Amino acid sequence: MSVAGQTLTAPPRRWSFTRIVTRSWTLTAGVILVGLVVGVAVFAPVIAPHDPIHQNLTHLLQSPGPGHRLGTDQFGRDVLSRILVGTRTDLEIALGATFLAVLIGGSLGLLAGYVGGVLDTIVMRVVDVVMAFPFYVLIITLVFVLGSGLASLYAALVGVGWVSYARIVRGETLIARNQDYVVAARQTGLSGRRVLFRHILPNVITQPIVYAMSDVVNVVLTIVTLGFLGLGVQPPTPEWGSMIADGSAFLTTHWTLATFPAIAVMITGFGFSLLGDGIAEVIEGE
Amino acid sequence: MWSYVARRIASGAIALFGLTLVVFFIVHLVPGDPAVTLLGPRATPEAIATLHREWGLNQPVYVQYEKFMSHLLHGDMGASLFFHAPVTSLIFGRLPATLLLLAYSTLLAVLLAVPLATISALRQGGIIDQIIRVVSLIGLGAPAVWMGLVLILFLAVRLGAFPVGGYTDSTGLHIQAMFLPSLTVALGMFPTLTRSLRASLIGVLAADYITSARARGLSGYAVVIRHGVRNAIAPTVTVLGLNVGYLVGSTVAVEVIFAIPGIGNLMVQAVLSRDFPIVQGVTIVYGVLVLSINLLTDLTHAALDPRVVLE
Repeated sequence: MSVAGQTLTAPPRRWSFTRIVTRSWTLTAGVILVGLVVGVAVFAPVIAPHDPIHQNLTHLLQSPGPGHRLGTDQFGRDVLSRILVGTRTDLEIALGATFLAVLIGGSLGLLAGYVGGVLDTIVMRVVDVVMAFPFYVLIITLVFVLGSGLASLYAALVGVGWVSYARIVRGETLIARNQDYVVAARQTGLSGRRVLFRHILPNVITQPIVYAMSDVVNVVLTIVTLGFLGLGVQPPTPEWGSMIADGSAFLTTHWTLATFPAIAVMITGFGFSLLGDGIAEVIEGE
Repeated sequence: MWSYVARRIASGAIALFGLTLVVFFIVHLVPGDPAVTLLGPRATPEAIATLHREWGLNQPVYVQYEKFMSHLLHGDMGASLFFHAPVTSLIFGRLPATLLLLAYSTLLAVLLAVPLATISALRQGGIIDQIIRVVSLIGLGAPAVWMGLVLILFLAVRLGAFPVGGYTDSTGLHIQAMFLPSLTVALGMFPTLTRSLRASLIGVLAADYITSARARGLSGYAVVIRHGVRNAIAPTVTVLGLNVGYLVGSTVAVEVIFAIPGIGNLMVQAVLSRDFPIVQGVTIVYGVLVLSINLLTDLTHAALDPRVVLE
């Protein structure tokens, strides 16, 4: 179909850019902030002015200045470069772990809600048990058992994170599966798989995505807290939480050392919170 | 009401049973020799032998679990590898500090959230509402560890208004000494609380009985306090219960920053020194704590809102 023909025949696009910008400033601000943070994560090695793990023992604990915009830490490493590259470390784990949690929890919730019976009972019992643990405590325990390292950090975050998505998607699926259009689709003889993926999945996916946006904020905070406690990403990899921990030793003399990485955490959190709120606003408005 | 309480306690008991299973299996089903894996590469042969003997690792799994449960039910959670003391007494010695921190921070968070949410809901869409909204959104992403450090620097070190360390031996000084750590936890909690309370207040304020109260000539704030907050608090109690996992978790880091001798601090020490009987014990105690708080919030919710029991 030609472009001109499309503009003539197609109905007004539901997700027109200008409509969204004017409808939800929250969403727009969220998209810009998250885009910025993701951009920094992707291009971190290119835009970082210095090598983030290079120690310059003649330039220890320098205040922010022309050579080092945000100063240097106790090993003479450039703080700005460490924050920029740390964006990649923290965001990669947070987005990766959240994605896997949505995928695994969502699939289990979808199956539990659609199939029901024994599968549903087993999945929901496990969800109840995992939810009984304090989030951080279970993650710390898992990191302890699996040993420190990236793989166990992922395993712990996903192993605890999937339950929320299983619960949300199951609830939505229970509603969707009794809707008229699903019953009709089943009665026309469509296979269970086709009904599940073509008719139910698109209608249960929104809620978990909105939740995932606020979940990313919590996952980032968890990675930062674990890094601070020395249980997360191990040095010398630049990571915001371990940077805050490093800076805490020089709190009274160089308080900016712990504060700059914390500001990076807050910008990221603010961006994803705005994005989540914005998406919810636009959906409610529809 | 009583059948609801019974049902709620029964489901709590099932979760508790599952919890012991999880704690048992995550340390017993690690690949290789669990004793070697858990004690780490630098473990002494004596420590490994002790573990094998204590756990009966050569016996079938169900016998091991039975043993684990029978010890647990007798209040025996093994002995710390580092402190050489019973885990139970180590944990119960440190539990009061954690409980005080939890209660104190919840109180401060409610004291922060209720007025902010009330003002926001009454001035919905106004400048104050927008400011509170943005502050809450930023607060959602603020790391508690850093807020604790900032409070220590400005209120304790620079101003000298509060002690740097969190916990003292004399009871009277706790309220002052635990203020900064509790405020740190509360600052991490109030954004979620404020947001949910504001949303439910806006819902409540649109209800007919509010309109009729206003029509009787009650002022805005009187209506909100007499009718609005009371009806909006029930869902907020639930939100508080749902977030208790995060709340309890953030006390772990705060205990470390303020050097509070609580079970969170104990756990981090134990993880770093690979003292797994303590990790196991603390995990169970935290689980019981969260289950009890959830039970308590559900029962509070039911008491505040009679419709819950009928569901």
